[in-house]
Order: sequence, then structure tokens, then C-alpha cells
Amino acid sequence: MISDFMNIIVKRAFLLFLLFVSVQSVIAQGASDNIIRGKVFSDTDPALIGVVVSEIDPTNRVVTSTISDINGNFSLKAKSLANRVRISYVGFIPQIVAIGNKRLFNIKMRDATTISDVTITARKTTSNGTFDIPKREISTAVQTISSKEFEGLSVASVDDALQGRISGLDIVNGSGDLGSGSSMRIRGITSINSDSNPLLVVNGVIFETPVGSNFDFSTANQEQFASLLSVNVDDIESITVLKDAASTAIWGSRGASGVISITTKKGLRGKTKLQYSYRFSGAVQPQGMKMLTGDDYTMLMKEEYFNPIQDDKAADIREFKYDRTFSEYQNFNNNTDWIKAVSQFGVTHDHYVQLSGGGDRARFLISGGYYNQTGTVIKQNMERFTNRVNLDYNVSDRIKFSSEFSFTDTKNSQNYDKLLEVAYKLMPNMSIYAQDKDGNNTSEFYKMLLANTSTALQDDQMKLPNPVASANLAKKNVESLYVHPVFRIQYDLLNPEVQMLRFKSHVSFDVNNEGTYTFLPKELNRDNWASGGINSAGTEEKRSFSLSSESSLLWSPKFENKDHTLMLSGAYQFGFNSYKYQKINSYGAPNDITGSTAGGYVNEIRSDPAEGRWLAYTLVSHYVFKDKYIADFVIRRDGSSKFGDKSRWGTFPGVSCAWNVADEDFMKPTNKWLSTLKLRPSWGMTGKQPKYEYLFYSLYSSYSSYNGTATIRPENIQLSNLRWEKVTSTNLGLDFGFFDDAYTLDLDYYFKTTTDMLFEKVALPSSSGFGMLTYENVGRMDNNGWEINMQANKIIKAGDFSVTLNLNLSNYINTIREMKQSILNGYNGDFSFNNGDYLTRIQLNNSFGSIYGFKYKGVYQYNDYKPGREGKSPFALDAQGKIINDASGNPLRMVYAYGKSSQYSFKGGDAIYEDINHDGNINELDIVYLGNSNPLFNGGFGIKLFYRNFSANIFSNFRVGNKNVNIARMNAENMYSNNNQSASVNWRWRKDGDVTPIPRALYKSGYNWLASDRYVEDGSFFRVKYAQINYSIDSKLLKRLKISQMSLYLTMNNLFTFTKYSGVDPEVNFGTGISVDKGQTPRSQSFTAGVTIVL
Amino acid sequence: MKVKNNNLIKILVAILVLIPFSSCSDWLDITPSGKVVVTEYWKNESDVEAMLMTCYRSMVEDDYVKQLILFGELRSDNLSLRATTDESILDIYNVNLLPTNGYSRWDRFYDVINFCNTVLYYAPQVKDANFSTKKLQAKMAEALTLRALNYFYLVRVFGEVPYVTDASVSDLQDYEVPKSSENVILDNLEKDLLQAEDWALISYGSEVLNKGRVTKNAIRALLADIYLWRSKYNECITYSDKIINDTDNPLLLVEPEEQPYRSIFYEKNSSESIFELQFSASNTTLNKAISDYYGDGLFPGIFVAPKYLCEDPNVFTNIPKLTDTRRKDYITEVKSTDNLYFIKKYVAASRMEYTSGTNVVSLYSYRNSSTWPANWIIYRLSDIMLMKAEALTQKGELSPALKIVNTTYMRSNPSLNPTDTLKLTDYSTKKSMEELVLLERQRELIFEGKRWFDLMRIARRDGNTNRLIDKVLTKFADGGGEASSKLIDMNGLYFPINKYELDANTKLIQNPFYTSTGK
Repeated sequence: MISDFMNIIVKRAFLLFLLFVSVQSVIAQGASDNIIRGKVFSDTDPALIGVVVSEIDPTNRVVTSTISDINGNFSLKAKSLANRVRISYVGFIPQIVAIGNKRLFNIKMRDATTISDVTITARKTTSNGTFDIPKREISTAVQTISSKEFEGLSVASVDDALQGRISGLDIVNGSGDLGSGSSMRIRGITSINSDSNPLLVVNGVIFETPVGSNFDFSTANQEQFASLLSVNVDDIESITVLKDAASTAIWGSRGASGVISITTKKGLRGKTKLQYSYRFSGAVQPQGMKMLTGDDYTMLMKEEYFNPIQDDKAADIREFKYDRTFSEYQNFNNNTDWIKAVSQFGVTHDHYVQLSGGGDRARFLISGGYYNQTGTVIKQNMERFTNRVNLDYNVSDRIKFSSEFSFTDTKNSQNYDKLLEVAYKLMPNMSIYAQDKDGNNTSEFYKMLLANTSTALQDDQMKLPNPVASANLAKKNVESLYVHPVFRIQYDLLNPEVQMLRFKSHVSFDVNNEGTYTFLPKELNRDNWASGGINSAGTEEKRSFSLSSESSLLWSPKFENKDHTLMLSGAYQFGFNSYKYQKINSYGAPNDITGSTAGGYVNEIRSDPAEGRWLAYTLVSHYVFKDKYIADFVIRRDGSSKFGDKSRWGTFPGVSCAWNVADEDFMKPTNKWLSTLKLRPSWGMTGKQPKYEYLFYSLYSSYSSYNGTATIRPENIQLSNLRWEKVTSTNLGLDFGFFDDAYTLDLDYYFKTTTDMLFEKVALPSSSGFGMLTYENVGRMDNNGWEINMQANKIIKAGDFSVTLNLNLSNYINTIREMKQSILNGYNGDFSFNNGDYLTRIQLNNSFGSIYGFKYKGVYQYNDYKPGREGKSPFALDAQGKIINDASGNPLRMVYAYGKSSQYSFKGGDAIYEDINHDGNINELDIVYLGNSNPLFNGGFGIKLFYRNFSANIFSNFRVGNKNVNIARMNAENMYSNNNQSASVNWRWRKDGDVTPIPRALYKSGYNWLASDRYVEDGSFFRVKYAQINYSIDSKLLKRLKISQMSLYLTMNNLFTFTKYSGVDPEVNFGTGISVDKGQTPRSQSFTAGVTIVL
Repeated sequence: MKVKNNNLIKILVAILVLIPFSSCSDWLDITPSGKVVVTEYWKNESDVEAMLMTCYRSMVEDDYVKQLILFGELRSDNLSLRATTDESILDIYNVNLLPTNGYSRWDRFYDVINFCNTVLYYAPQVKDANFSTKKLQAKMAEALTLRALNYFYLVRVFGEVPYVTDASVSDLQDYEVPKSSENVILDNLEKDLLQAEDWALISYGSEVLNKGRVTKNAIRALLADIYLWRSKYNECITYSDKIINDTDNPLLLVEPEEQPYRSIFYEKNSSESIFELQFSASNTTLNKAISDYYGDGLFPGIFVAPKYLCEDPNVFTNIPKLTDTRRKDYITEVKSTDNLYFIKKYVAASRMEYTSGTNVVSLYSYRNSSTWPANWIIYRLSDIMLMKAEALTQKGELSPALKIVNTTYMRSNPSLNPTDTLKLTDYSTKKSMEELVLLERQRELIFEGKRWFDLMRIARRDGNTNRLIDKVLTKFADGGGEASSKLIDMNGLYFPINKYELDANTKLIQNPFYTSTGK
């Protein structure tokens, strides 16, 4: 039996642990005459076979054990006569008999069915990080979601499942690329350029990847959440999101951006249960911008080159001319749909097996998952194997031991280049394969060679890789292995029946190895052998190891007066992590060698080790009076090796109260319909530390050499002044429950202030010899917001049919209150007078994310002025709309950037920008506010329908009132380079008199795509994220097949999106400046069919 | 609440378990692995030496030398543009200087200054029995000189700059330093250099080190340069003479028969060299500034010599006979197919002449990849001699001035008769002698990053920019009307302070010429 085997393992491990902790009580040595014998029988059976007979000590710990034979007899050598014997058998009431001088036991077992009914009232408890307390006693802003909510969804990681589920938690996926992470924000952004992602905690253990000082900042956020892949969603029992500082204060310096706490499933007492589920998904990419065909493209390009200087010679480019004498003619006479060429139908197989069970003493859960996904972009493949073993062993009623072990192995084959991005730009008249003189494809991928390519195309088109070739020949593999064992012990120092005094301790390890292997073969390179790009191979390896441990004492005194309940806890935590990073790049290795360490010239070697340590003390108390008045207090003192002596320690307190108003006597009259009314004010402070170690040291690193002498140089300015960033938040919560909590409504309003805001890479005057400070505390920022969470359980009930609804809404307003002047200067740059350059500004007392630009008014229909063409030809108008004449009485032509080097006179077919100040000159004074990237509110809405064995679950998420800058469309409509354009440019202005919203094509000239409201779009959307139908097969039918449960489901993901937004996907990353849609791989549309069988 | 004794013991045991961990805040003290912490550095002489070499090393960065060329040559009448897509370079060439121009960043210079400050701050704290005061002083002299050299560049390019002499170590320091006036900075530099002259070594024992590191003569050269800039002609002459007449480690002009071009620019570290930045292939410090800007033998660089300079008989006289070897050594003798004169100084290894029909044609050989790295010469003897000539001229001592000019002139015209020297009768006025010295400096030191500062000295003496404009405009084919309007103001000769610096340092004020257009 697996459970027996596990018992043995657990026992051994536990014994080792006891030695370590040395709380072992000495076991008395028994004498040889301590053998006890007996027989077990019942009223109906004279001999009960297989009855468990155990010797137990005063703490109910099993000392020895045996089972009765076929005659019902047993014998046992007792270790101590002071112990007792316990006899237990399924279906019978267990008995406990003292040994004393007795050596022979005749035991009559009594049938358990004869006992009277017992009513058990279970109260759902939620962990607040320290205690498990009933929901009604919670005084902070936390929200829990059960994994049942996303059962049957095929999602690779938790962030996808959580999206839109929790009010105040905003999750935006980075892109639809496999394994790409997402950014999460709980209650807004607390930092401008520093990490704002929440802390992840799995089963009470911080889940994090340490980073070295040379770590790439720009991708760091994504990486952390990509590592969420290490937790299989199927293993999750529930997720709790801690939002206010009073609740996150127990995580102190880690909890400033909120905490997401994940609890995994545990084995349940009872028959061993085997569960298997399989899900199959198919995914397609949503239709993006329609691009020009090869024929339309060449037509546009000839015009684009002709327009600026009105000369045919400029358009004399062989690739656009269909010139049969051109050696590459066959490769440039095609209509290639590059997007189609790099897209495919993506398939996912998701298997999951779970074995769980256990008895009184031990419980276990073993799970394994295999996930294999191919992307909607060719050659993307992700394979993941997850494994988890959770064991709980009750050594006695007082001592509990448990261990968790999880392991994840991921292999992600990504694309070397951003294929979709390239596909949108690449000239569509070019062929995928090199073609022979008759236009037949050969087996070789086509590439533009320097010698054959017109100079005009060398700057952009030639630099783009053939995406199909890149997918097939180049590689970028990311492989990671994650191992995470945790050992826990819990020991009740006093009899919990009398008084709880519990010692808890855990130690956890985290081993994370990740390697990225890239290879770019010579087929994709246009350089010669000597250059750095030939057969370039890269190996990047990150290894981290961390250990953390917590020991705590929980005390809950029993008061004579039952009105009082008090729980106290003191904990001590410490941890360390070490991190190693290595990178080797080489090139010029012979063909077929694709590793960077296998030969060739090494052109880059980098390594970056780091180590960090932390420790913390926490005190938590929870006090309840008369079940109605609740007060919580928490304080944490944190120390981190990231700071120098001056600010090494930080103290973070939190206070919260709750008042169950509905339980008051004076509320009796309304109790019929108002079942819950709770007021929850809270206040707390949390902190944030910088990401990197060693900041307070002045470090030297080796440089190069001069005249043969090796040199060394200062690497940084030591940060002696760096302090913890502090986030203080006040939360006002109000919970309503109507009709026995069938309807619930939770309201939260919060004020959050970030002081001593951490800013990464603060510009420093170069006269210091350094370009920047790694970190500085630079300012103060507010995030104020509200959240509404509604739940209606089974609101409509008609026979077997019922409906459950849930809705959450939230928003926040972010305001910058104080900021170091030099940072404001750096952000608030002057207008560059270049096309496509949107200004970002940080203004005090304004929110971050305002968009500024010109007002776009269409296209000048005519080039020359005639009466009646006011506004339709490029001539200045005064405030009354009358034409302005120059000194010689001629109409004054509209000018761009008068007196600047970029001065330009507008012509027919050019974009019209509103001349706000009517001076006939479009310049920085005509730039206006165009909107804000922050939404008015966002949220999620779910409906669940139940009918007999069927259930349907529709979930949507939405965001309202935010503006996106559609850069993808801007680049596809600017007609400024050789890049392919969207089909909409077929409506461009071509000749005098054309009425169109699209200006004329101008190769590398003109100002037709200045930052304007033309590309600022309403990013509001309502997305049906998934719709699912679930069918549980009748258990009666299944019984014959010895299956206890079987359900089938069908899910449609990303079914449709209601939006006015013209881009592929309105869900654009936001939170750092303005939301910009660069047209990354969009979220795919997919269906999932699955089955779950429980044996 | 009755607690049994037995349990009390268990509680105590549990608490004891915690103690080994909780007692130590030392737990949080970790020393970085794989890095050197400042407190563990600065223990002996070699530590000082390594950081001192960093000061030099940071001056052989490509971008550093590139800025020396852009500041000292591109703005003058010595360079024309062949082809570039770099808007910032185009803007400098067209005298359209903007605070956003990337080359108006001064960080490369302050990097060196901070390394020097670091040496000057920490070296005296080193406690090493073998590190005598004399050794310490010699090293400090080098750091003081390099710092002064960099400030001297900054002052000439930007006018007023922040004067920082503290090593940047901690964020407790205030890095927003306001500008200091030119005089305050130069007074300090003179003081530092006089001290350094006292402390510095005469020789390091090898030719490469004597030219590649700061010696007494290098300090005197910088002092002479600063004195000349400040119109302190007597001091300039004194210090030039100290170099010219040095007997400790005498410097010698490379004579014509010793192939001056090959010796000075290809073989490097010649007998007339005083201080040059050492590049080497083995240390992967290739002089990319030269190959990008002047050419690498295979391809011309983005800059070429202006047409007037190569064709005007008043520049390199004796055209069409072309007796001045510098004309042929430094610039291609004939136009290329695209009608341009390519730069050969630093680029070529040597030049040979052969007869083709009736013409004598030059044939250039180039460096191979292993000998490619050209040094960048900061000071050499002919430069110092001509500085002295300029000072003498200003003092009205025309005859000795002409004698110096004739020394460098005759060396480069070996085919002339010894009597064909330049005659005092042709340069009898102070003005004409001043122009002659200026021209000889141009011929001798062309492309070595000197010309713009020579022109600025003229403008400073005149109090106006008329002569400077006249000269600079000669290189523009279209007359450069736009450029002259920008140069008419003396303040327009200075670069604007980069926008990045103004943003980061709230105490900085933009240079006067740019306050209306820039920030």
C-alpha cells in the first residue's frame, strides 16, 4: 500500500526532524513481560479480522501497533505500561483501554451506526496569514477565491485564471506568446519605474526568484510571473489576495504591493481517491490588421518614393518594378501573406493525475501534470511536467508533521525573432522561398543579400529576417527546473482542549535553474564569416537557491468568560538566497554546432553572482469580544542585507477592527433580510526594499588594461542614504449579506500613500563620473480607490434550475504628490518635433499616464487656395475661420515648426493638425491633452447556471474609460518607410481633390504621423473571457463502472470582445506611463474540451 | 491557566531552538562575492597603480577620442564631411549646436576626472611600507595632470563647468555642483600642475611608458598650453623652454631622413613625442575613432580634408611643386573618384613616391590589422615649439618666432635649399607673423585636435570672431551663411550644456548663447 509506505517514510523523516529540534521526550524502555494479548469481537461477529490495535502514549501518539488475525486475536509488546491501548475498526466506535497490570484484553466492539446523530456546524475559515479564522471575524481587506471557480479551464498559470476575478487586482498578460508572463497590480501602482508586482506566497512560503545586480530590468517583472508556471493550477485549493496594509503588514517589507497567497490541495481522510483529467484545447489567432498584398504594396511604394520630390527617379527601385531583367525578379513578384505564413492552429494537451487519501494518522496527495502546448505562431512549443507530493502525518493528537515537495520541469521552445512583428513589416511581394527562374519555389529560404538589394531597402527591409526561415532554423530554448521541498512541524505544548499553545516551524528550500539557449545559423545572416553574427550561439544560465524558515508560537488562552477570544502569535523568520548568472556568447563555430561552449570565438562572457539574507520578527494578535467586536494588531520588524547599517531594520505595523453590526440587538428587526452588516476600518504600513544586493557597498570591478597593466574601476556610488519605501494604507470596508448571505456585497474604499518612493536608475549629473544612482528615495505618491464585490448565490431557483452571479468593479486614482526635480525634468522632455513622438509627463498632483499630442483634423484636400477652400487647403485661418494673408497679401501657407531645423510647409494631401492658437504655425504650442491611460473602472462579471447535472459558467472581464495609443496602427498607416502597411492605406490621398482621412504617402519626409489623437483610441472593452459547459455523469450510472465521479466540459476561451478599439486586442499593458499598443502577439481564441474522472 | 512543569521545559527548549538564529544581526552582514569592496582595496602600491592606469584607460575609449576630434577638428576649417547619417555630427558640422546633441555630453571627461579624484583621495591613505612618499607623489602628479588636462578640454569646449575635486563615493554627497568660472578653474589647474611638476617622474625607464604616461615634460606642455590660452606669454615661453632645453630626458625632432611621418604616426612614441594615448591590438584598445572618422585604409572615414586646404597655394605653399611633405603625408595627394581628398594622417603606415609619366605620384601603404591601432598624440615637441613661437609673436619678438617656424617648416620641405627659409621681410608685422604661426600650426598639427582651439585663441585675443569666421567658412561650398550667423557671438564658440545634464543637475545654468533657443 502506498499509504503504508508513505507512513514509513514520513516516520523516518519525522524522527530525523525530532533529533534536529530536540524536543523528543524520552521513551521508557519496556520490560520483556509487557506482552499483551487479546481478542476482538462484536455482537454479530465472533472474530473481527484486521482490527487495528495500537499502544498510545498520553499525547495519543502511536507507539506500537498491530492488527488482529483471522481469529480476531492479537498480541503486542507494550513499550510502557503507563500507556493505553486503542482498538479501532472501520464502522465501529474506537475504544481506548488503560494497560496497567492487565495483560489480556477481550474487546467487544460496538457498531458505530448505533450512535445517535451528531450535528456539526462547520464555519468556513480563511487564513489571514497566521490564524485560520472565520470569515465573519476578518477585519482586513482580503478576498479569497476557490479553485472550483476555474475548474475545467485550460490555463497554464494562475495569473490567467485570476484575471478579472479579484476586485482591485489588475492583471494584464504580456503577450500571447507561450510562457510569457503578465504584470499584476494590486490597488494601483506604487512605484513609477520600480517593481510593483505583488508578493507571491505558496502555502505560507515566499515564492520568489532572486536577481543579480546585472539583471535586465526591463524584462524582470515578466520573468517573475513567468515563473508562476511552476505552480500547476490543478494543484491549487484556493487563492487569497491580501490588499490593505493591515493584512499585508505581516509580510512587512515584502508586502508593499499586496500579497497573493496560494494554498495547494492536501490529502483528505478517507478512501484513496484517484483523479484523472485531460483537456484538449485548440487555439487560433484573432484576425489582426489586414495588410496590403504584394501588388498593392509595390504600387504604394512607387508613390511613396515619388511624392516627396515629385520625381520618377526616386521611385526607381528594382524590387518594386517587376523588372524581368532583375536577377531577383521571381522573388519580388509575389503576394505573400506573411502573417498567414507564421500562424498556425495551436494545440494544447493537458493531463493531470491526482492520488489522494489517508487515514486518521496520515494523509497524502500526489499529483502529476503534463502540459504540452503549441503556439498560434509557428514553432512555438511549451512542455511542462509538474509534480507535487503533500504529506500530513499526525504523530499524535499533539504533534503533526507535514511535508510538501514540488517539482516542475519546463521546456519552452520560443522563436528567436518576434515573428509576428516581422510578418507585419515585411514586404509582401517577396517570396518565402528562393525561386528559380520560372518562379518555382526551391527548398531554400529566400534572404536579401547586401549585394543584390537596392540601397533604399538596406536600412529596414534587409534587416528583417525571413520569419519562416527564422522559425525553422534559429532557436531559442528556455529550460527550467524548479524544486521546492518544505518540511513542517506543529507541536501543541499544552493539551489544546485545555489551552492552545502551539509551536510551529517550517523550513523550505527553493532550487531554481533556468537556461536560455539561442542559436542563429549562418543562413539567417548577411555578414561574412569574420563578423560577429555568423552561427552565433548563446548560453545563459541562472541558478538560484534559497532557504527560508519560520518558527512561531501561537497562544490562545481559554477565558472563563466566553465572551472573549484571543489569539496571539510570535514568529521568527529568516532566509537566505544565492543567485548565479552566467552568459556566454560565441560565434563562428562550424555548422551543426549550436552550443556556445562548443567552439567558435567567444565574444561575450558575463557572470553575476549575488547573495542575500533577511530575517524578521512578527507579532500578531486577534481579539474577539462577544463575537461582534474584532480587533487585530500586527507588527513586523524586518531586517535585510540589502541595506547598510543605517536603515537595515524596518518596522511595519497594522491595526484593524471589525464590527458585526447585524448581530447587535437593535438590528434584530432587520435580521430577516439583512444577515450581515460588518464595518471594517483598517490602517497599516508596509515597506519595500530594492531588488538588488550590495547597494550600500562601494564596489570596484575590473576594467580593461592600459599599456599591459590591468585596471579596475568604481562600479557604483554606494547608497548609504537608501531607505525602505513605505506604503501606508487606510481601508474602509463594509460588508453586507442579505437573506442568509445568499446575496453579499463588499465595499472597500482605500487611501494609499507611498513615501520615500524607490526609483531605479536615477539620473545623476555626469560631473560625478557616474550616469546614475542605482536607487534613490525620490518622492511621494497616492493611490486612492474603491472596490465593489457582489455575489448572488442561486438567485433564481426554479425546480432544478438555478443561477449564481458575481460581479466585481474597482478602480484607483494615482496621483504624484512629490518628486525629485531632476526626475521630473528627465520625464518632461521638450517636444522633439519628430513624427510619432508622444509626450509623457509627470505632473505633480496629476495621475501618471496622461497623453499629449496634436488634434488631427483629416487631410488637406487641395494644395492651392481658392475661396471656399478654407480648411481644405494648407493655408492659415484666423479664429473666425478667415484666411490669413501675408505681408504681400497672399494667403499664408501653414507651416510646421517655423524657424526650427524641421521647418516644413504643408501641401495638399498632408495631415491637418488643428492650429489651436491660429498663428499659422503648427508647433509645440498646439499640443493638447488627449486623454488618460488609466481606466475609470475595471472588473469582472460571472454567471453560473445550474440544471441537474449540467452547469454553465460564463465569465467576462472589462475595462472602461482608458485611452490607448495604437502605435501598431500608426506604424502600419504612416507610409513613411519600406515596411508593409495596413490595407486601409488604399484609401490614401493620391491627387488634388481626394476626400479621405488618410494622408498621402511620403517616404522619410513630411509630418503626416505626428503624435495626435488620430492614434489615441478608447481602450474600453468587455471581453467574454470564457464560457464553459460542464456535465457530471449520473453517479448511479458510474457506480457500475466503479467510477465515483465523472464530468465532461467544454470551454470557449476569449470568445469575443466588445470594443470600439481598432487594434487586435484592447488589453494593453499599462501602469508605467501611457498605454501603448505595439501589436504584440494577441491573446488567442481557443476552445477546450476536457474530462475528469475520479476513481 | 495552569501550566505543568513538564510543559514549561518544552517551551524553554523550543525557545532555545530559536536563539541561535535570533541573536545575530551579523547574519545580515554579507560581503559581495566576485566583487572588490572599497574597504578591502587600497592596501598597497599596486592597488594605486591599477586605479591610476584606469585614468589613462578611460581616455583610450573610442568615444573619448571621437569627442576630441569633434571638438578640436570638426568645428574648425580642417575637416569636411564625406557622408554620415549621424544627425548630431551633421549639426556640429553645420554649427547648429543643440542641447540635445549627443556629443555635447561631457560624461567621458568627468569619468576620467572622477578616476583621478579617486586616486587622489585614496592613494594617500594607503599604508604600505614599500610605498614611499616619493612614489605616492609621483602617482598623484599623474592623476593631477590628467585631471587638469580634462578640465582644460572642458573649459575650452564649454566655457564654465562644474569643478569637482572630490571622489564620488556615496549618495550622501551632493552631486549637483554649479558651474565655476573659467578663471577659477584655470587658476586651480595651474596650482595643481606646478605641484605635479615638482612631484612627477622624468622617466619610467621605457620609451612606451615615457610617452604613454605623464612625465615632467608632459606637465610642462600642459602648463605652456594653459598659459598660452590665458595669454600669459612669459610663462608660456618659460615652460616651453623647459621642455625644449630639457637635458634630463631630451626630446628631439625627427629629422627628414628618419621618415618623420612613419616614425611619429605609425611607429608611434617617437623621439619628439611628449604624451600620447597608447592604443594596442593586444589590449583590444583599437583606435576606432581614427578608423571611423579618418578611415582605415580600406575605406575612407566619414571626414575628409576640405578642398580649399588641399588646393589653395597659400596653405601648403609651393603648389604645384608640392615640396611640403606634410601635404602629401597627411592628405591624399590627388582627388578620389568622388572628388574628395582623403585623410592619411594616422591612417597610412608610410608613403612612397614613384614617377608616372611626368608626374610624381604618392603610394600609400597601410597598417595591417595587428599594427592598426594608432596612438592619439596629445603633445609633441613641434607643438610646443610653435606654442612658444606664438607667445614670442605676441610679445613682438618676431625674429626668434620665425626661427622656430622655420625649424618645423624646413623639416617638412627637405627638397628646398637651406636658404629657402621663410623670410622675416615677408612677415615683418606682428599680425602677419601671428598668421604665419597659426598657418604653420595648422600644417604641422592638422587632424590632431588642435585647430579649433588655435582659432579660439585668435578670437579671444581679437575680442571678436571675425578672423575665426573667415577661416571656418572657407570649408563650406555654399559659403556657410547659416554658420556665420551662429559664430558671430563669442559665446557661440562654446558648446551648449547637454539637456541631460541640465535635467539632472538643477544648479546648472545653460550657456548664454543657448538660453533663448535651448532650455
